[in-house]
Amino acid sequence: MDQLLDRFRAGDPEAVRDVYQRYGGAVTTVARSIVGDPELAAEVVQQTFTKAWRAASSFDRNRDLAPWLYSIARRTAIDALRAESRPTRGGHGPEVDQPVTTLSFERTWEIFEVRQAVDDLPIEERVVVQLSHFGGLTHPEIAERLNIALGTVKSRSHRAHRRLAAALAHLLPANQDGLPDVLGGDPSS
Amino acid sequence: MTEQFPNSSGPPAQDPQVAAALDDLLANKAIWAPLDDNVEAAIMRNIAAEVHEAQLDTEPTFTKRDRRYLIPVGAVAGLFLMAGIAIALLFAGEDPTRVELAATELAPAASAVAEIEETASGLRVILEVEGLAPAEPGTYYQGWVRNDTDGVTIGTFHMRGGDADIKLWAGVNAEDYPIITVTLQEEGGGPQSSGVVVLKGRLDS
Repeated sequence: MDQLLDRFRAGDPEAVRDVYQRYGGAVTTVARSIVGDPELAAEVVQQTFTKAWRAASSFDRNRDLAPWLYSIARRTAIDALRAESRPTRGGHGPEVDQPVTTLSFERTWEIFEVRQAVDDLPIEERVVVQLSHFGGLTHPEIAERLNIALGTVKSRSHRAHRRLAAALAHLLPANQDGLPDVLGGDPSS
Repeated sequence: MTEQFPNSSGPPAQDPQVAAALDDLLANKAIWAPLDDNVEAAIMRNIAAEVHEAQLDTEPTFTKRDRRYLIPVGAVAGLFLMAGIAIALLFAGEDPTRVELAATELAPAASAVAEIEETASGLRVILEVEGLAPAEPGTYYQGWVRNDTDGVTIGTFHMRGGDADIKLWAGVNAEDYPIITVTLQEEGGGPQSSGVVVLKGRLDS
């Protein structure tokens, strides 16, 4: 990571590609949460990383890159939303900035963190979590879809949820001790 | 208003409510928005364009006296340009140029072949490196394209995974930067070349 930050700060375009691979998902999630429209969100993501590259030399390498990128993404998304909301868009009158309402700074940071935690999962666990939470599939349906044993689906889901609970502990209800049993079981099994 | 990031440390929760809370967090459809390869390509194009523009901006300006020479120089340049176009047309559609990089005495066992392709967004360089020792912790290798006066980085690598094909990139053209070098850099040593060259080649050799 240190080497990536050095390359990034040096303005190496390949480092931007690596940073995009690492944080592009989380930035996309924040952009989508704020602007909604997928095409506008894609534009926001594009602008975010281009702005980040321009400002890379000012990035303090002793700090975490994620909050820095997040701040750029949020600001860029709100600017894009504001531009889209101008009442005189396409007209001849003066353009006036409209106030925009969006999710709070803390809420979109939370969304960024959740996406980052999901992206940090091993791919085989991430697929199971995605099919379950986004696809709405039960464990037997996931097993059939992926052509793997039901037990494998359950163990991957178990591991994934433990990782997510650990990574996102600060967003979850206060615990008493130890890791939570967040599996909840498969309602269909 | 000062924006504060919530504390991201803290023990994991243990409560039946945790599963429901986690479900809530993961229920947001935006969490699952796919990463778009087209966006990555657009970002790289934007950066290439800005790098190119910045390089044009740093080209020398001419004084009134210099301008007397611009017409003949321009005529000669025009001839070179036409020749360049003719050569470009002649080689259009051909395979990427391959350049052998020779090892310096700092890495005598190393060798490399650079496959260079001019694209709309700049130079794409695939470096096939053999016999170059993995960079020691705290160091890394950096590729450059250069001319006699300056250089542009084309990316970094470390060889810790053994011999490899390394994909590098620069938003410049090969005619302006015909020399390819690989230097050994120290982490935290800044963006400039260390001058410790381990491999070197030239496009027009």
